[in-house]
Amino acid sequence: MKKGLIDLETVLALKNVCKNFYTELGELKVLNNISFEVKKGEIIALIGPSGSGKTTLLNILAKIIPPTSGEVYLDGEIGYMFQRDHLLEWRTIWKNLLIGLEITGQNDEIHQERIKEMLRKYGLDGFTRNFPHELSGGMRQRIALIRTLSIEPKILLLDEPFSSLDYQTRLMVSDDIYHMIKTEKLTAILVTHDISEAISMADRIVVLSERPAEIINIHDIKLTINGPKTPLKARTADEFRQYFDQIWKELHK
Amino acid sequence: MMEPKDNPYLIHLRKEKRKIVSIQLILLVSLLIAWELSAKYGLINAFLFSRPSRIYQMFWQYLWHGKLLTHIGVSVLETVLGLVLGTLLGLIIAIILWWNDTIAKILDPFLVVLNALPKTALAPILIIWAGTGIKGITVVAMSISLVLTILSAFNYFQQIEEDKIKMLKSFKATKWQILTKLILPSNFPNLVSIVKINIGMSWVGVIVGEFIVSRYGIGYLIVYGSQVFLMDLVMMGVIVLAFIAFFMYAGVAAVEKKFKSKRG
Repeated sequence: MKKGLIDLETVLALKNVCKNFYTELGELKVLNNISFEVKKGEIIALIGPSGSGKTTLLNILAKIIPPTSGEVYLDGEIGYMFQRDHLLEWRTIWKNLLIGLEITGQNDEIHQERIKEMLRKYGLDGFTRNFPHELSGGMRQRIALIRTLSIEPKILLLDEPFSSLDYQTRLMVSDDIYHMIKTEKLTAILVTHDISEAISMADRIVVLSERPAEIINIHDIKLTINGPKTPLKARTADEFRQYFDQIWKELHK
Repeated sequence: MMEPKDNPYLIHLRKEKRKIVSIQLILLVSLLIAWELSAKYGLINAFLFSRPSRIYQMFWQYLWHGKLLTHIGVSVLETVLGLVLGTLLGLIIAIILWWNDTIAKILDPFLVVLNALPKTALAPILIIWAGTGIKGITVVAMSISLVLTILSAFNYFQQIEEDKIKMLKSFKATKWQILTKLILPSNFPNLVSIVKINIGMSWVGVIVGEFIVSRYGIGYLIVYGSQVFLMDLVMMGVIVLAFIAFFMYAGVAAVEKKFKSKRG
């Protein structure tokens, strides 16, 4: 897609993206005609039943796999955050944070200083000499996000990043991660199957159908909240229930 | 904070450990005494079964006049060479198999057959090819650990979580980077256990090789002792072998422990 055809604020766009997998059993249609745009600084949630091809969509965005047809436009580096933190157990937290820089050949003072600054900002600077198994699940997930941010991506892809955490930790970590995304002025795409999580974090929600996934609806999330938005506060907004019911119905048609 | 020496749990652990070690010592000593006495009073034939006191004499005799240290040195050298070469070569081949799926699939049936084949059957062939002496015996020792190293290392390499590889790929890691930053370091404990197994394998190769053709080594002492029916020498060789093999194993275990404590 040519840059001239789309809004200057758009950092990511999909146009008529389809994906088929070929297996021994034949052709498997996973994505059908997916189109949406993401503006700079937005958090978009992709929600759909499990096995609906959400992760496939992320893999296409991350250029891990190509689409069968359709166009993908991306402006800026991609950072990928996974369901599990995937910290390497034999490396200290500090060494884990450096792995992205080591791979991309940017392991220098300037980039290291940026990591240290983020650690200070998010209260994690006391743990750099520890090993991953000495940290709680929530801390590990925040370290994993800083590792992702070390190479300065502009667009963040989050693949159910909280699903391995218990409920309480999950609420707290989503608050932290939301805060980090907004502070670092990132654009984010969050894949989830948790409706509440999607409403509490996202600016817009793309609802996907069962396989082959098509877009059922795109919701603009507008919540009435006193003061700055946090995912935890968002859950208490009046409109929360309505969005929940509507998306629930769309997913269970 | 409580001093570690006052911790009741640690005291209990120490007591338990002391108890087990003393029972082990008692067991060993009584076995030796029983062996010695039954040989002395003719319950067993000392000519066939030897006896601890004569083995002990034989040990000192060979140490001073029989070049025991040379024999030990030659065997240890062959074992270490076989171990190092077998493990390294095995690892390199395992890495090649991991790197190239097609090669892995092509070689698979050959490796399975080689693994099922008792490698000692190849020893005479290998010695004829590689020559007698240290060279031939090292090749035999290497061949025994090689196939097992390839198969188990390759198997460990394949068990790495696909998502961890994806994590590195999200930073655009090359295959070489995935190998050196993920596959090899995450398998370090597994590689140590392969080395531990290979110590035993390498000794099998050395002893079999020395049985076939040699002029030095513990295997030579054992086979010479049995040919001249000197069971004291045979037994002495076996006991010396047990000690050395144990010390090599303990050495690797100590290195392993040091790394574990370093990783926290």
